[in-house]
Amino acid sequence: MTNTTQFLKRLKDVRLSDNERLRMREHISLYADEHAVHGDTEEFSYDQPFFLLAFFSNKRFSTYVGALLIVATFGGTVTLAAEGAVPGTVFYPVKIHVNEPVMTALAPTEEGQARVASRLATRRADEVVKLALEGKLTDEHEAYLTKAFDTQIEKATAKADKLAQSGDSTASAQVKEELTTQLAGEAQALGAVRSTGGTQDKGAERFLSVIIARSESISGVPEFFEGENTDEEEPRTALLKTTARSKSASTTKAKTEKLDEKHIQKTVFPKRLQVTASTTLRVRLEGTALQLPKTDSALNYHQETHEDEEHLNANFNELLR
Amino acid sequence: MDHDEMKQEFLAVYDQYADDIFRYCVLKVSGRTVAEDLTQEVFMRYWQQLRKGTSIVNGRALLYAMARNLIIDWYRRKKEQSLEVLTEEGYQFPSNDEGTIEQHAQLREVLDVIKDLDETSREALTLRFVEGFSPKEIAALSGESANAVSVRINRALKKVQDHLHTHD
Repeated sequence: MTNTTQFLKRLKDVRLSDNERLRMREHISLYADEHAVHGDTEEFSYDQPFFLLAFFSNKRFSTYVGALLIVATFGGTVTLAAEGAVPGTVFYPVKIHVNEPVMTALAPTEEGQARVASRLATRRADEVVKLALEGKLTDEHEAYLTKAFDTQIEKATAKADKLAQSGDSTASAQVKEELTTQLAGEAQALGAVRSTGGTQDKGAERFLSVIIARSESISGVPEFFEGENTDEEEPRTALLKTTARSKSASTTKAKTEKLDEKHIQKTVFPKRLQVTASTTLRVRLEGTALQLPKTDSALNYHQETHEDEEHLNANFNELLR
Repeated sequence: MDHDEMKQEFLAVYDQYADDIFRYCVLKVSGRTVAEDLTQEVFMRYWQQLRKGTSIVNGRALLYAMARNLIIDWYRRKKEQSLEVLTEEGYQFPSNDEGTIEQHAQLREVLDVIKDLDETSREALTLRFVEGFSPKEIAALSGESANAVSVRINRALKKVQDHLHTHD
């Protein structure tokens, strides 16, 4: 018996050669990149039979439904009003967890997603400018926005790099150029805030150093900070001359790491209307639970009790009848 | 799980099972090239499952099931007897294979012995003694009962033993 099994185990010698194994590994690795995981978005093909059915069961569709339901329930005014919201205000959760996931969901291509991520990064920078101008840029807001800004920058550059890898280097360069131009605008605005000498100086300056560092890493050179002339360039060129620039960036990182994540969330998202990404709002559609994605697009009005959630469900049920 | 994490996990599965799946394929189809193509296709399908968010309880079993289905499809297209071709033409060892001449001769001997078994018995036998699957797992893969698989394995094993005794 043992001899027989040993005899059969000789078949173990049938295997891929090292070259074959490596070559195949490269192929499937490339295949995986070409068919990337899109988080809460799933692709469907129009070539497939019943593609409409596939569309309706697609997670992206649930994002559309979620957004439509919010609009239907509260009116378009809420989502519109949320567009200009900054951390700490009532409508900011709607901006972050409803409006922006819809923007991402509606971008079907790599290029589109790269542009949306660029836009979202710019929006975070814009929020810093607004808060700094109003004198409301707290450490918690700064920590939250720096992290969110970095996330979107990473996403945008990763998507742009993928575009270049897939052969569309023109689109990749365009995305990066647009991003650095937008960041230059935000840097200029922050520089102006900084020069007013207000109490928000430190936070604005730290964030400015983050923008500069990220822009340099995107473009490879600090090109847009090395303007030749004009008064507009002044805050930026002045900052360039500051040797403490990189030190400032690392100080921001150290500072944000010290802050408690829960505390940041509480400050950024007001207690009365708190949206959390970990929970979902379930909408019953013709007896079938349609569960919104658990990620950013998940909307949950996490209030003192679950009564509000039940009330919202009831509203949605009413709408769907 | 984001793309990079999932890809890393996927490539780890590939590193662990690529040889096993290739072996399973090459023993059922007529040559290295086809087996290589099928193996690659298996892993692409596995990636699609991961990507769809399918909850995979037993990745190894899923890989074998996918390989099995692909081989069935391949047979439908080719309509040829794989192992006969493999043994008649000889197993193509890779050009840079490190095995010795003795190892190659031993391998040919095993292939020669199992070619006389019917396809299902051969599959059951190799899955049991080469890949280490339990009869229950083989049954799940082939759609038979665990008892039927055990009986099949014992009969096939007896045939191999008889062959070895005859040639001793």
